[in-house]
Amino acid sequence: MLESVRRFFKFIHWLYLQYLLNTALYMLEPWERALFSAFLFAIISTALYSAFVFLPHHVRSMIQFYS
Amino acid sequence: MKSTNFRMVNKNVEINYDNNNKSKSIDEDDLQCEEFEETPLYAAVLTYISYAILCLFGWLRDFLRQSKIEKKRGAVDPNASLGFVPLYQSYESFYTRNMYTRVRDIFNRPIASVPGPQFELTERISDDYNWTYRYTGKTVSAINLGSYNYLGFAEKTGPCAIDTINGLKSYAIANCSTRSEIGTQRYHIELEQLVAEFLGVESCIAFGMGFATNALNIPVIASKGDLILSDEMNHISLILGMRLSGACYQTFEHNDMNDLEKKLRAAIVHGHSRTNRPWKKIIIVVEGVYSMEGSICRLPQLIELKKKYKAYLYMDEAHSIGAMGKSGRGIVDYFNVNSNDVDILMGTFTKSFGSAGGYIAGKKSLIDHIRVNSHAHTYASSMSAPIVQQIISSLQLLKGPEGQKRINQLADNARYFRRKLVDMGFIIYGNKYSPVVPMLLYMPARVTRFNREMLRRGIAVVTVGFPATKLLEARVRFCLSAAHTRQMLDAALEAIDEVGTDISLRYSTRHKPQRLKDL
Repeated sequence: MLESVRRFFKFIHWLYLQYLLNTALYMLEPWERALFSAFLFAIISTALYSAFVFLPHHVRSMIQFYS
Repeated sequence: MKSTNFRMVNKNVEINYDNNNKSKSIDEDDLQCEEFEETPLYAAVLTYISYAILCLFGWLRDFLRQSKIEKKRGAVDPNASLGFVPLYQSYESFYTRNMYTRVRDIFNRPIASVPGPQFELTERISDDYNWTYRYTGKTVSAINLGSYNYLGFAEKTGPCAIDTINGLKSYAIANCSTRSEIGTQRYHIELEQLVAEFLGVESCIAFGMGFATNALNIPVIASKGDLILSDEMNHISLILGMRLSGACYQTFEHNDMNDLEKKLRAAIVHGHSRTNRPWKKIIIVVEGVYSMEGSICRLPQLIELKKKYKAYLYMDEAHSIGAMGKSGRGIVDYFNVNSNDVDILMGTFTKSFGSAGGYIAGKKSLIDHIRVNSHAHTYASSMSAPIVQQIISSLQLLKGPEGQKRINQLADNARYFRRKLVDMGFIIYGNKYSPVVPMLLYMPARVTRFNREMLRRGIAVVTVGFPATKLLEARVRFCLSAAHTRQMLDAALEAIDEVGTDISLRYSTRHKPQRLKDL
């Protein structure tokens, strides 16, 4: 039980490392990492929220238009 | 961008050799078998994204520095406002300030011992993100996979060291004069005779610095009115020599004999670009082993082309003398060709002989011409006694069984290390017999993480990125040595396997990615 929890945390740590390495955040200072991550989080969360709010209505009206 | 397509077999071999030499061409294929795998698309995209993000943050930090919110830490042009030509080129200094300095601790580490197979690195810590360092005084012991110590002559005990100390006691250090005035000693003559005999040519001349050998002697053999055809991956010392000479130069694609032949034909047919006068002479400049690619020049085809089109061949064997060939005599020995076919053989004593300096070897008339006209000979202080004695001792050692053991050990190490890395699924460039092993890492953050993690595990490597290599192809270059034992190589392979899994460096699509324990 404890072993699988440890492995899960290791996996999350590995994912975070991949994020840092692939976007070159690994080379930047901590405040720059925080700034970039905040921006990325803001953009992605705005996109997801807009999709969540508007997509059902858009899809429904598109189906209505084409049927 | 140059296409890095897969070329498992040199296609030119089939063109240049006829059917009677079928078995010979199969051997040639094996000697020239080199691989340059294509960059995977996701790696290229992620590398560009990384550099874009670094650029964005670079602009942000530059803006903060310009508007005085942050202090300027780097070098500043003091007369920028007075209208002089700028002292620092703008993109180069931008790159240095914002990308190089962030990870500067992985480059230029000072070492604290002889650069043998295992050595000591000084420990340095930075409190302000690599703008300044403080040395703790401690040293870190690490396996050395970065020094050019191909035959393991960088050692402080042994017959070479004893001879060197005796030489120092007899002749002291400085000669206080140039070769042409009163600085030529007996050991200089002995060195030049020994090197000429070792290479199988008529005569040789030695200089104190390998870089200067190229940069200051190409102007002696080439001048205005000549054409120099150089490989695109040539070392900066050759390029500097070509520019200083005043001759016209063109580059041909790396190791591509068809391209070279096309350019030779065009040069002979058309002559100078505007006047159509014929070229006074055409010199082809190649290197024996290219240190950033690990590839070997195609010497048999080059000699055929040179004889067909009556050009001259200049081969820079800095990394291959001592390291390649059955008896360590370089690429000429590796391909078993006549050493008199290469007009100008150049090499250095820094890499395989554990010393310093360079030489040029060839016909006596050429070397006599260089002796009179070369600035590196007439104005440079002559080589020091312990340096020359080290070369003489190592050359004499190479002729005997001890030297042969070292050469075999190096070839064995190179084949083993390369085979294991390729089987694990990493992208390795170059010829499968060369002792220089470049492994591609692509992304700048992965390069820094690889370097730091390897040092944490006790292995010191040399990682290179832009501008020494192309922007996409940042790599780590392992230089193997005859002094590395199988245990050291295994320890290194284990560490590479672990770090490679941790930061997912197994890019190769041609070889299945495998862990070391599964091999």
